[in-house]
Amino acid sequence: MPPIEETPVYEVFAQHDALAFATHVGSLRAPSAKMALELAREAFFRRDPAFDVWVVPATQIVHARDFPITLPTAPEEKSYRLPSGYDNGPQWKRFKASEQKIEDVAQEMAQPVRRIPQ
Amino acid sequence: MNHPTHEQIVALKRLLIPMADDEWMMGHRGSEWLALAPDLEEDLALSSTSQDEMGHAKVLYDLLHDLGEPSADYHVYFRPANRWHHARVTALPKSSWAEWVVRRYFYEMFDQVRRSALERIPYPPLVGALKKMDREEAYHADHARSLMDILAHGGAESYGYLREAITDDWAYLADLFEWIGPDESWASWDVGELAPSAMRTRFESQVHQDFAIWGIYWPEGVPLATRKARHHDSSPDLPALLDDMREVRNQAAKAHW
Repeated sequence: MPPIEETPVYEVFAQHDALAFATHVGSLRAPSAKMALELAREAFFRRDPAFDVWVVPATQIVHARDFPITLPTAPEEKSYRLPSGYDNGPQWKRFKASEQKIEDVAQEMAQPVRRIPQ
Repeated sequence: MNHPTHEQIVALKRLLIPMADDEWMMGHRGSEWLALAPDLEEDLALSSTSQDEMGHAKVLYDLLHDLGEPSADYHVYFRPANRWHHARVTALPKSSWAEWVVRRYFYEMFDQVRRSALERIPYPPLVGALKKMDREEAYHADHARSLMDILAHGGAESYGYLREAITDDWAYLADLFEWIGPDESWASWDVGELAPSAMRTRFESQVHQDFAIWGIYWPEGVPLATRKARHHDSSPDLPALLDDMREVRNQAAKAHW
């Protein structure tokens, strides 16, 4: 193993279920990606299981702060971008209430005439 | 087989006590590395795997309790030194990091062989207990191999430490393959894989293969053990280890914790 400061840093992400976004949980040093996974298992998931774990070499992450022009900044006036008038709330409520599957929602959305319930 | 015979129960105890004690000792010795492992990540991983091993020991002591043995607490806190049946290699005092890596690797490779032999015993509570451990143990074995790989390919200095540690531990490996009690006792389960010679052969074939990958000289077969290998009637290290392990408990041995 090289000296500690030469051992690569890996950023660790976890997906809690198959549909969840991967969330950053921390970082660690490891001599290889496989070893990073082995160590992440014990460092971050001792008690909680995960659906999947990703390790990414920290050097492979591109930071917007290094290219400030790409950094999202607070908009002055973007209300015209807000999706008002497309209220999907009732669908979501029914989806949750009836334990529909995502496929059912897709089928409903695909119907030729969509009625937005009031 | 939910109702083993008396002979089979006696045999089961003689098979499980050595395993429970090995797991306990690996967990105990492993926990002594807390804050001393070479890097923070491995320190966390090792303290966690040591807890796994103690957890496995607890599962086995509880299983033994169901078979009529005293409780897990008795086994760990009150049992006299000459009633422990771990293999000496699991309880060797802490020496170098390389020795610990090598000890873990040998132990995990052996433990895989032993578990797959015990899994063939048709006693559902045992099969269930082993199944619970499988996931963690598969990780332990994989990680033990990764640590060996790092030492083997880490340059002349680490390779030297590795060779030295293998030479030191090799002589102790024999004890792992012995059960306690007479042969007829484990043979009453009629599982050929439980024979010490069968376990030794499977272990040797795995380790021989790994050594070839790591460029490590194969020191011929594992030496043969004496039939008393897992008895510690006059062990110089064991009383000190037990005193150390029980130090807090012994402050108030009769208290309820």
